[in-house]
Amino acid sequence: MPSRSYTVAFLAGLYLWVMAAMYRALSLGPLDPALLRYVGDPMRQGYKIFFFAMQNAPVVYIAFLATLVGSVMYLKTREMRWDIIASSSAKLALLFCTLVLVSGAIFSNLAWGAYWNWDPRQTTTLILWFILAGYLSLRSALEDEEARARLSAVIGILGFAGVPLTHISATIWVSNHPQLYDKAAGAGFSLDAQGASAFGMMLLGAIFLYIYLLWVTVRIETLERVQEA
Amino acid sequence: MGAIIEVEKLVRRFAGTKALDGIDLKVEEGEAFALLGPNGAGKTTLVRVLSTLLRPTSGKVRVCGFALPEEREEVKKRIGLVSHNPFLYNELTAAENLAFFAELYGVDIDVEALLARVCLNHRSEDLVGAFSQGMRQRLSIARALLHDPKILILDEPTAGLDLQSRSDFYAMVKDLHARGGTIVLATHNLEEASYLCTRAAVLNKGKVETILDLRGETAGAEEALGRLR
Amino acid sequence: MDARKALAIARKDLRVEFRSRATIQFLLLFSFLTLLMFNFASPPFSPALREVGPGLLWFVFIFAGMLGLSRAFIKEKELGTLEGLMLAPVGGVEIVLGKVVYNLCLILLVELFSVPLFIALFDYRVAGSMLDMILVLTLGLLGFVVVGSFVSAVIMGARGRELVLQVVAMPLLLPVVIPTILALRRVMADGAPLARIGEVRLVLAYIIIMSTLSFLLSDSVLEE
Repeated sequence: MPSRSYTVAFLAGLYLWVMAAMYRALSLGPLDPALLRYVGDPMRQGYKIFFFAMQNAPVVYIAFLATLVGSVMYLKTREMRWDIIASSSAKLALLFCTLVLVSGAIFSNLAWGAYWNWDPRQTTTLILWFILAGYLSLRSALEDEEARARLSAVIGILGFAGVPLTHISATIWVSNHPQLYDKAAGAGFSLDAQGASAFGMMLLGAIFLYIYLLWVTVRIETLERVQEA
Repeated sequence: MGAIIEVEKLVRRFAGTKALDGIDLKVEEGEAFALLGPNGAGKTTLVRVLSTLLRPTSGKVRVCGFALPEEREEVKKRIGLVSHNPFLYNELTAAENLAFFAELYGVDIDVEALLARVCLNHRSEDLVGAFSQGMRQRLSIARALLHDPKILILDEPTAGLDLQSRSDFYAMVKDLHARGGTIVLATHNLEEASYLCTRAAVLNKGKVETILDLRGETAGAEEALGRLR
Repeated sequence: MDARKALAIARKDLRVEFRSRATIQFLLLFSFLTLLMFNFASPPFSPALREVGPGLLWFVFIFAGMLGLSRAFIKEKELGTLEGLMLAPVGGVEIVLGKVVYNLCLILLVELFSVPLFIALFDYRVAGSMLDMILVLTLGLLGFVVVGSFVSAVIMGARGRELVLQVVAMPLLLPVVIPTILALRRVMADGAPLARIGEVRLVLAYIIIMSTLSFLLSDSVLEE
């Protein structure tokens, strides 16, 4: 169990790291004019919201992966700590998923003038959000601790396994839809070295934030259950 | 003869509370054993654990030499359960009900002979929905016996039965015991327990209070139960 | 796994159902009503119906199925007979498979009833082959039944289970629902032959993945 001072040091380090990443992202130059003709003028500087939005997307998958691992391990060992990990990580996955959806909508509005435009990744994230919300609603509807752990583990596994095909379905559905906005800007959007490093730093910061939040959530949940028992 | 049911330090938690809190118990082969106690003492939970319907939270349970929950398929083949729910389908006839369960147990049975054993052979083509409570309970015994179990577990089996069906039921259980079958009877009724069984465990708040010998005086037993009420 | 035991359960359920008609009566009536509602909601003789029609037809099954198919497990849970099944030496796999077969029989009956009704009500001329349309629809329904039956086994012990089922099953069903609508539209509106519809393979792949997982996880679901 890390002591209090380690925690403070960790959080201070994380804070400084994210600050540095944000500085790096904000000090990038304006958007390449060649790309600007595909998107609205607010994106000249506004494209930088990308660095405050998209770094959360991989975290959703990491958090869901942890839920999968916790679920499989619970069914194997029947130890409650795995259930605690699975459910805590699912809550965080839902949180990061919400962040991705909201910030993605803002990004989309700046770029193409609409908050929602059925982008395959956006759609997949939305479906993922529903899967996670379903998992957590099932948990709140089951009273017995053992049944809750066992049955939600099954849904956790099923939900994660469905993600690749969910993504393919979303993609073909979107491709069947007439597009309102030209997405070539998205395809042509590539990061230069400074941009890539800024994104990498933001991503690393988000991952460490997730790990810290997971640790806290697991601790709280464990203490709550000890008190109940 | 060794013990046919062995229970050591059995704990079963349910929704945060301990329905069973460290049960130790041994039932010998060929014995008629009662689980006595007021409602909510944990009788039904213990019966459900012994009949493989509930997984123990911790502790050791062996039935017919097989460990639960790991070897529950083996245990299932060797036990029969009669509870206040008859586990029958109202839309099927008596014969169809038995034939269906025989298929599930993978045994070939003479349905008519089995129905004759519980005095229902004249009603084999009638829908169970039209049966009286007593007839349903008799059919339930036939269902529990169709695979020749080593142990017959009875959970409040006479709840809701009239006097005549009750004494018919007692005669059937006595007959089974006389043929060498092991009986486990969960009941809150001391009279019933001392009529059918030779030994009893008094349960209270998920613990075994005392083990009683029911062959001699029942005054001590009466007193032990009275204290709990 | 013992397929005979699974079939015994399906046979038992069908026999009970044809004596009580509790679910099938409801399913047929409900799908009839839904089709009628959709018909009221659509502008008559609109060319857009060619594109929208397949989706409407498919949603009749989703709506009826979501409510009706969970009955297979919930009814046994409510009557307590599920414990009777679990006392017998049958695994969760056999129980789930039995319910999948039973539910498939019910939904195929609904299909038999709803498809002609849809064509008559909407005066829909199927552009492609009728057989292809039935095949696409049936494959989609198979996926729907496999996932739906398994999820209803998972949620049957939950509080407010009918509501929980919708919330848990719907997102897991999207990889069946979306490609089936697209495939149906291609057969019914565009007249594409079955071999050229890639979406069908997606449904098939999802059915295989979900069946495998259900097979592996059934015992954990139905253990107490």
